[in-house]
Amino acid sequence: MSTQDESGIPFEICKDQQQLRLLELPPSLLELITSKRISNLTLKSSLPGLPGQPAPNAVLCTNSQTYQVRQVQSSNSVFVLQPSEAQSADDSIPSTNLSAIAQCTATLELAPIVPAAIGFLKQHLPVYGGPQSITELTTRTPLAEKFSKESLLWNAPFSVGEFDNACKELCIFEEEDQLWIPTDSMLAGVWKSIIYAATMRSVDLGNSFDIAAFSSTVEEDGYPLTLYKAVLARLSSGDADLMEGYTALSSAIVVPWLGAILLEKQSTSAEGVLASDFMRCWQDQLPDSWRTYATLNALKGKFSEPVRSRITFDESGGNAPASSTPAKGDGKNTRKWHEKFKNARR
Amino acid sequence: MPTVPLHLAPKAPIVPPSNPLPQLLETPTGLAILEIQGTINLPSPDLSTHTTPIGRLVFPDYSENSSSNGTAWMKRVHLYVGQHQRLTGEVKKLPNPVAVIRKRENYQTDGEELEIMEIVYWKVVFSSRPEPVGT
Repeated sequence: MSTQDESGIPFEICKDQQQLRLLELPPSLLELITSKRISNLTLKSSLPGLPGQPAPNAVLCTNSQTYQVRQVQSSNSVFVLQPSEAQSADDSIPSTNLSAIAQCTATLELAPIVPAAIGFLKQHLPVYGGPQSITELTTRTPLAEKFSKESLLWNAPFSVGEFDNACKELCIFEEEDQLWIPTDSMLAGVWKSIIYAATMRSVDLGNSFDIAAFSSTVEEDGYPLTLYKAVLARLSSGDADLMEGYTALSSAIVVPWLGAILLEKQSTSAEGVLASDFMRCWQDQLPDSWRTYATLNALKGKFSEPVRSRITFDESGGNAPASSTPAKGDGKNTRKWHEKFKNARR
Repeated sequence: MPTVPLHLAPKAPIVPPSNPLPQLLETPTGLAILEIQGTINLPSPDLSTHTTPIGRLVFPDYSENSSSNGTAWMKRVHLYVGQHQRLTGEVKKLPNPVAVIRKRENYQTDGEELEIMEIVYWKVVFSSRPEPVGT
């Protein structure tokens, strides 16, 4: 077997090993990377010591998707090879070696997850129930860390797209360098200002209107303009061709949103409110042309009937709503276990 | 520091010397993955060199000229380790392609940054026990 010394590629191991990691790419992520539709990904870890998350989890984020990172150890020796010019051999014919520049004992695996973005925001942000909330926060905990959008996003274990969606869902707004979650009373109040101003000026909310037109009314009623804009963003029909400074609201979004807020606000006792009273209050706060959309069907999954003809707010009631509410904590966990079992079976 | 950017390509392009591997295993940066079930026992270090020679990697059924030999050559790869041992393995497609990641050299030193050096789709894997060979 004298051929073995002459044939083949010389294989060697570098003494200065590089610190490299191997990251498995699921098809969706591979496509995103190779198509160069994004400039970079971000690797994030959640804040240490959060309740319910004993070990800091690492996640990998695209602009809109989050993947859980799992480190999988291997008992095999996995080498990363790189061609290198052979060092001065006896003969002058240049040859190329293969050098192992790194040995990786573990591979990083990714599993797509639906992060509990809304839960995370509710956990970290103060509730805004009026101007007094700001004074309370600054006097009670003057040294507490303020969370602007930038600083909270930096700490959030999910993508910027999922962050923005959750902020929009909750009508989160920024005031005094701090993000706030408005209470249902605040949201209902802002809506009252909007519908009042719209009625006074005969503005059709379903068509493009000037955002600034209602600003003074909203401010006179004591609501921050940033909150007003967050509410409009939550309720807008999202037509792309709207001009800057203009928006149009979607009845399909406004009607169930307002219904849920009003019902939650009124559901102070276990036996709930009289359905007919609630329906009247709800319809009275809608533009005339939208009144007929306010039916209990629009609130499917958001209420239960403890007693006949009385209803109460109950998000667990009935089937999951077909709204855009992202899944919360439970969904994430089951998903993770599903992935774990799947991987274990490989 | 909970957020670290992972760049999709190296900051400075990596230009490899000519690649000795079969074309299928070639990547733009020349990086490839080789997996051995078990470990290679290295001799005591020779301080005069930067590398430790292990042996030779041979693709006995691969021919550069014939593009017609399809994938049959992938079934047999030999890794000669030292003078007396030979491992037999094969070329396999990775179930999921793998990104090789390293820390980006950052002279501004404001925080850690990572970059993908290369995406590798194939690996050479040796999963059998070594067999003795005569010299």
